Amino acid sequence: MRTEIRYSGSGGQGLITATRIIARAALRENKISLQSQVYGAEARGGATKSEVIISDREIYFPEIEIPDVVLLMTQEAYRKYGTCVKEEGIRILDTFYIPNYDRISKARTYTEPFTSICEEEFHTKLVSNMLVTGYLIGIVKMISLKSFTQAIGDFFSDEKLTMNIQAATFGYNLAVK
Amino acid sequence: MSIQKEILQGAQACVKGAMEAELGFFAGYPITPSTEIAEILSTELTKEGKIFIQMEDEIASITAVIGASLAGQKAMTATSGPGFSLMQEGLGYACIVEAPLVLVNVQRGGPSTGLPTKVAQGDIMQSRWGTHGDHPMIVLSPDSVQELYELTIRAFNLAEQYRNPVIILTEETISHMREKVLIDTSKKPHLIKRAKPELRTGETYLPYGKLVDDVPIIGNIGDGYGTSITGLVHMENGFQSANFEVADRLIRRLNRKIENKIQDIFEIEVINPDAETMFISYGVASRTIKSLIYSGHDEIGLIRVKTLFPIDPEQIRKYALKAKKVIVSELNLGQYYYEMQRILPEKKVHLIEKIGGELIAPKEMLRRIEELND
Repeated sequence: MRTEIRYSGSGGQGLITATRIIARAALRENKISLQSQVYGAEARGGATKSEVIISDREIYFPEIEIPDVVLLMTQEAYRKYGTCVKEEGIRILDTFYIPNYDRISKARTYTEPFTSICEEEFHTKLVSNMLVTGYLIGIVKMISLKSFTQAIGDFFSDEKLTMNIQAATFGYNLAVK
Repeated sequence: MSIQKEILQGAQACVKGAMEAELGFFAGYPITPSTEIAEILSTELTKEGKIFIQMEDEIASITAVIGASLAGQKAMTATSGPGFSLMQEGLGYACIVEAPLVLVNVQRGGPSTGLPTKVAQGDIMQSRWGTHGDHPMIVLSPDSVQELYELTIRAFNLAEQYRNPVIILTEETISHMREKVLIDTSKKPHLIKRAKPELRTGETYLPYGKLVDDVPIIGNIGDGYGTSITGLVHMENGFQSANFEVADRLIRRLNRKIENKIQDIFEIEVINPDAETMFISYGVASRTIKSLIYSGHDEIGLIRVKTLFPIDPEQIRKYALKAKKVIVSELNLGQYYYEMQRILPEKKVHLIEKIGGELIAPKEMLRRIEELND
């Protein structure tokens, strides 16, 4: 079993952090994981692509050609990667940033205005990366929510940790409800 | 045995290896995609009261590293293409004065500033012959984050043992990606330290005079020995000479100290040794071939070169000659391919290359194997 997940959005949305935490959570479940990203020159605001592969077996080729799951967090990301997903794959779109999108027949598409939901619930956009990742885990189930929230603890502490876990749990419940 | 399992970025693993190897001094100048190594070391080294300096450029960086090395520190620097070009002068100096050091070159697309954030393997020949004159060089190529950790420790051991620069030639992909690393925390890794002079009463100290396997026993600066250090050809006492015999003897010895130990230094990993189609590859490029082999392509084999230089032709010939087809795969226009042609003159060697900042995907590799002409 090998799951290839691509996140694309804008620098500063925390997408690289999210995929790093997924990779760490997979390790906690004794799975093999590999995380990578494509950088631009900008620290914030540039288009980002971050990927994580989770597998029961060793991962040799470190890149994803066509992902099983694609998560899109800006209109530009949608334009670049919006239709690049495997047959029977999964697309997750933040309609706060991507109001207009095409239906495609080959993949299941899930949409929510994740960023505005995050602002309503947590009064900040900062944890929308965790909210949407919780949602993704609820849909894809490549790791458990428990390992994910434990792995968040490797990255954050104190109030930040609490809020990130709350956001991930909220997103997860949104997906499985 | 107690194995610690972690997810590390390549740069983190490199730093971890360096710290395990008792790195004492780092001088560097930030450059993508090697900057993370300097950034992490800036805190790791200073935490232990060791020295980290951000220099004004790469020439100053390697020169500072040479100075620290001659003063007895295990010293390293990290850079990428354009910075590596600037360091060539210092590398040659380190070779002739026999200063142990580790240089990590995280390769990006070139020439010049090229493709700063993209993967490449374009510095193979520069790592071997970038500095002028006949000189030995040890160049290591890891294929994973785990191996970047292991080969960093090995690089320090080889540098100390042979008193020569060791280049770790890694790539943007390996240095930036995160994957699992297993570290045995129950024991310290085996570390080699350079020999120190032990003079008998009345014995004259000759920094380049006392040799063990052609490696001189040089006193560290600060240990009380007066050592003359010069990039000019020098006599056993360290002072300059333009004498033919002195020059001939020195340059031959420098090269011999590595050549005679090729069997210890050169390392390969061989998978499917009896395969009909044998790949020769290294670093991140070899992961495409491993991916094919471990997804059921038993007709494919791999000679993965972990030590790019010095090359032990016999170890490669042993596996390559019996294969029906030999293919070198690398992310440049054939730099190691020419070396393989040189050591396999009786064999038609094929090349599957890619430039432009992308890896060869497994499916693309299968298509390109099909396209090869016999």
